Amino acid sequence: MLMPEAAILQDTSLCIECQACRVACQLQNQLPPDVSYARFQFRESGVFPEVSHHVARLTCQHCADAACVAICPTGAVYKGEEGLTHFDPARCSGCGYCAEVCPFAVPTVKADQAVRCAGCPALTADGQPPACVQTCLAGALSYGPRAQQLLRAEQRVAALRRRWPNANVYSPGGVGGTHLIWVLRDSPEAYGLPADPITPAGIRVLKDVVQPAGLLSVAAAAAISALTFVVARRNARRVLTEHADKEG
Amino acid sequence: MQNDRVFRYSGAQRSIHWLLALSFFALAITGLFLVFRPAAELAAGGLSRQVHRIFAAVLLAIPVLYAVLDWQGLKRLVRDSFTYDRDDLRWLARLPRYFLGLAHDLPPQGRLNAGQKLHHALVIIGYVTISVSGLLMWLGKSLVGPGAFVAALWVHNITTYALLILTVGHIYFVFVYGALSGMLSGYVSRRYAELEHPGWLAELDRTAVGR
Repeated sequence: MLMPEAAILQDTSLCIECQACRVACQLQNQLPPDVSYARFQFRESGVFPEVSHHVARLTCQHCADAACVAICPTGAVYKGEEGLTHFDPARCSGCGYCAEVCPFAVPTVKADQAVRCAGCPALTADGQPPACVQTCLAGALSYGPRAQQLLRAEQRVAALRRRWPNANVYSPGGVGGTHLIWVLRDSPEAYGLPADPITPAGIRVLKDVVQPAGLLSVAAAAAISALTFVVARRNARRVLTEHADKEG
Repeated sequence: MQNDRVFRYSGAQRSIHWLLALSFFALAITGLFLVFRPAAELAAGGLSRQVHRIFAAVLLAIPVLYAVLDWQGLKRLVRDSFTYDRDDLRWLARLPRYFLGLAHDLPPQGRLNAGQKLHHALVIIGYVTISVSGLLMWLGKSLVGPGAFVAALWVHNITTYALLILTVGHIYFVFVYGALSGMLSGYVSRRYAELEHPGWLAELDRTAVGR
């Protein structure tokens, strides 16, 4: 059975900043209190009395063209059928490549382990929403088929535009679109989000072409050497003996 | 009889050689855990990275150690590796025959034959590219953007395969020409030197410092 593409909708205009999603995530992933897969960024803009306050819950954006999935050497970061990016800490080597190439600079590394959203694979495989969504008190987070979520986001933005003229749907195309869709009241920059993030080029070619070709070349060199060795060794001995005989 | 043997590699050179070999293989094996997918499980937990970094530090220290132990030798090695004359080019043209153990009728060579020079030159270039890209990935993290990080990963990968191929060739020639004892004891047979390095032997006999 093919699962439809799903997405998390994150409506910043509804967030009450309770951070219950963070606690639910920590419980779900059995994280210590000082480790979190979600980071909260608070931004203020404008001059009194015209001041705005924005909160961004920064966590995995679940890019469709995910640089972290492409670069992970051990397969610890992988894509689920529903389109979310999943993470298996047991397979993580802590290399930190995912942290380096993430266009949103989300993952970090702590004690030889990546600290990054696992996408709640046990829940989503069952068709359930991730833990953060399940616990959201304000309905700022929701989970469902991606096409529907995009439509809902557009409707929310249209409503918000009356008060927030810069309101927009944030699911950048430079990373292939995301499976975490934002409803923003203001420009991405106002939230500390990159305006135009892109998946770094060359990761797939490195992994799918350069690395196999490199390993194959080394193996071919070893195979050729093994094949010619006996003949070459016999020749070398003969030439040296002949030379010695000639010299007397 | 002492006359049968010629002193070729000093204690410093041999120590440097084996230290380089040890760190290269330790780095190659721990590095390949991240490339050869069936071995990926061995990288989990991060121990292989610690080992990789310890030997990376050793590798980075090797030129310094070489300079301290034998500054003249290091200078000569680098200079010789990038200097080729007409005989060297003719020698390289015969590389396929040399590969098959046919070392007769070769253009006369000095202390190093053109193949050894080329091997050293490529190892030196690879040493620089793998060190710079490796340091960038190790210490330059978060200083460079994702694009530069991926570029460094490319350079680190390609250099690794090139050095591994060179190493396969190096080990092959060592056993085809029975050259292992030279790097263990420091001495090579006079017969071998006469055949493959007549220029060097003549130089030794002239200066009479090499016994």
